[in-house]
Amino acid sequence: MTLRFLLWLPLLNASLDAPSRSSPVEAALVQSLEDGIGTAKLGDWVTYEMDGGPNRSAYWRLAVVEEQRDALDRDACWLELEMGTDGNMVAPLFRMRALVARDAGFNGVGITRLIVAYGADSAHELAADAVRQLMTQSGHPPSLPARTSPSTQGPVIRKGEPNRILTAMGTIIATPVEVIDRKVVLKRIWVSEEVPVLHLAKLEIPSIGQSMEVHRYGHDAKAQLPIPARDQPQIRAEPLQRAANPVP
Amino acid sequence: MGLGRALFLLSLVLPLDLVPVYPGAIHTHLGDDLSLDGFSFRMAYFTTRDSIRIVANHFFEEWKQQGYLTVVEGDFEGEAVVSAFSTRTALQRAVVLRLQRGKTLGFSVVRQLRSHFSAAPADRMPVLEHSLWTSDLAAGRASARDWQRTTILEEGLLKARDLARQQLERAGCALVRQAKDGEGRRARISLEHRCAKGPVATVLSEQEPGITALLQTHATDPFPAEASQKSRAAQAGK
Repeated sequence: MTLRFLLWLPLLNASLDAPSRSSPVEAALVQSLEDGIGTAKLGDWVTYEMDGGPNRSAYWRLAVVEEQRDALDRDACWLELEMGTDGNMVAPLFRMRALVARDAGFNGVGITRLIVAYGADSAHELAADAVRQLMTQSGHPPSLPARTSPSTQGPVIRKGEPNRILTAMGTIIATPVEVIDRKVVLKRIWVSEEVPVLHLAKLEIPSIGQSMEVHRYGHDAKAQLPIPARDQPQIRAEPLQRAANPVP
Repeated sequence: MGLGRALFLLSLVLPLDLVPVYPGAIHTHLGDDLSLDGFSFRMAYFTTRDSIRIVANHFFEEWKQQGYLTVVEGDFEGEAVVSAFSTRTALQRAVVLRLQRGKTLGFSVVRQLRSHFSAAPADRMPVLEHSLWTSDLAAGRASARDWQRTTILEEGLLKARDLARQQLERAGCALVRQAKDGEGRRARISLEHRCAKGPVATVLSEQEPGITALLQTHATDPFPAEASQKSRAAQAGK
């Protein structure tokens, strides 16, 4: 089980490891997070609206709520991630708070502490050994093989000129980056410095009509998910093979 | 909903103004701050000539617009339930609607989704053996102490009575009175025990062969005997 599988699958099956059950746009968000949050500033927050087809829309909110050094003495920040069905996030279905090393990103190398809350449950922290165990099992997915030259077979990346795009936040200047395979646009990403945290304004997968678009953003994020007291019960991980053993 | 109010929700007592209100209807509050199985809640009822569909739609639209997770159930002719969940504040607001003599009767409920059973474990009786279902209800500010237990036991009337008696007597309670009235399916047994904290009244009735309902009320003396004695001793010493 990878970290992504643990975090995303119970929610929207957005894991890249479970493509048959994932929403591609949510998987793309996970990919963007894994690539790093190095330039995100304290207080930055952004909410995305995911349009994953009929009855598959959702909102994801990312926020940088605190800065500190992690257990490995790296420059790190607390990143909150919430998922819900309404853009105002009054009632998120899932909340998570992770201490992420800035240079490493939201992945097995970067995360040292993890706090989660499902539904109306109170927040629980994963035990240190559980985080470590999950981290060691988590790996980077192979990157999409892409070439910058269209002369050979396989996907290519084409960067366009900055353009104005209309979002729920109004007009944003963004640069399109397209992944193209044999003249078919697989994915179009609109990158904008205006949008905090990921600098991602919009992501489109034209062939299946799914998209992810910035809904709201700002720079005044406050922590929503409290860090549980040290004496609160923690979530522990157990190796699958041990759990599967029959009770003698 | 402001942050102040959200924080308030985390306390044991739910504010009255969170009970769902249907415009134009008079709401009658039931009980004080109640606790069911450790979940604080408040309840009120109202009647209106508006149809169930109109009332349900009012709450559904209002809560949906506010961004809450909102669900509806029922046939909208004879009954309907609309619920809104605030996961961030761990709060559920709901209205239960029924058609009653041509009017819509509504029960408005607000309840916490996280248990706040404040009583020390020693203050609570363990669940009886052969219990199919048990629910503890506490009311008032002394909710940690005054409480009611409803249990469905998979036992006949006499065996259920024995289980209830044994449990109370193991806890140091003394049987004060026992009475039986009715016969057959109407048979009921009442027990009255005197415990250290106050009286305990138990009523058992067999619902069907081998299935018995138990209703038990645990009251607390306003002035426990021990405290009264101390007070008298203190007065005498002055």
